[in-house]
Amino acid sequence: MRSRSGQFALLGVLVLAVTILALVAQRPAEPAFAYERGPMQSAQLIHLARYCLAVGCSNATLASLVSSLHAYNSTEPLLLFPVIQAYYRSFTSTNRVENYTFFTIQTLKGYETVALGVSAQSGSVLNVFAKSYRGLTYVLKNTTLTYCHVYASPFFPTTARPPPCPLSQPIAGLVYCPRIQDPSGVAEIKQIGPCTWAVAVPGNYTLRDEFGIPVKVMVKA
Amino acid sequence: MRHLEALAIALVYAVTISLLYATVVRQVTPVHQVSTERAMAYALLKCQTTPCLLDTLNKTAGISALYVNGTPITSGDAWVCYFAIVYDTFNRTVTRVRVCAKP
Repeated sequence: MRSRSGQFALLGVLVLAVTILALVAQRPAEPAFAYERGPMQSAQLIHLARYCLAVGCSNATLASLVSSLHAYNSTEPLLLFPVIQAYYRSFTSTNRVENYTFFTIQTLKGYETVALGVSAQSGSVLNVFAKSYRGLTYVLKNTTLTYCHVYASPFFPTTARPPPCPLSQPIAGLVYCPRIQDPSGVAEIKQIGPCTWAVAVPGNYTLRDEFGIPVKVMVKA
Repeated sequence: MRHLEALAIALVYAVTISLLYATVVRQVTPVHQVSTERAMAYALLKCQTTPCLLDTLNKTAGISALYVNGTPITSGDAWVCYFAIVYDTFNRTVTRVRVCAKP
């Protein structure tokens, strides 16, 4: 009998425990936040790379900029992936200038690459004409310019039908055609297609894109 | 026999607690601030100046608070915050932007 009453007591404790747990489970839950990581961190690196190209990039400059990002990352919710390696490359031919920055980041999948490619390719001189500007006469050479940015990241989509963007390095991603301007106002610029411009410049000349990156027009004789 | 009973009771407890824990986990609403994070990504890709970035972010729905160099531009509930550095190529300045959203 004593044993039976003990079993009832145990059963009572069990039922009480289950009831309390069930009541606890029914309480309204607070929202749980999950930080999204990927696109913003890649965009931050591309943004930094564009700045590097605009101010005159080198491996040392890039390393310094990445180091400053890491410093911010330790105190602010930048949520940056660890940047294992960052380097800058430039290729110049008779009519094309290419600038690249590559970042090797460590994600949950392992080492992945975020890259920025900027390419400016000039065509042949089509014609030559004189232009007076602010009391000076310039001999302008008409040519075509293909200028584009490629933003590559495992978190960015790849442009399905990309406009012409001559890159010697095999990077694929978002292709963007930035606006081009001449701060001095001497050159004439007209967009004639996606990433393609008709430009008139006085010989080899440097324009600027909308991000302040120098756009070198190499005029062939 | 008593050991068997104790084991059975422990098993009942374990199963019950596991089920209730699973219920609690299911009830938690995951709030992924994807829109805010993506908006910041888009703004960073689009802009190289702080005014451009702020203008782009201000057009994004769901942003409750915006801080520039620690100064609130728009203040509100700060549930989830993201942070970015704007490298202004034209003014050669570095600006800290923090954007917060609420569920």
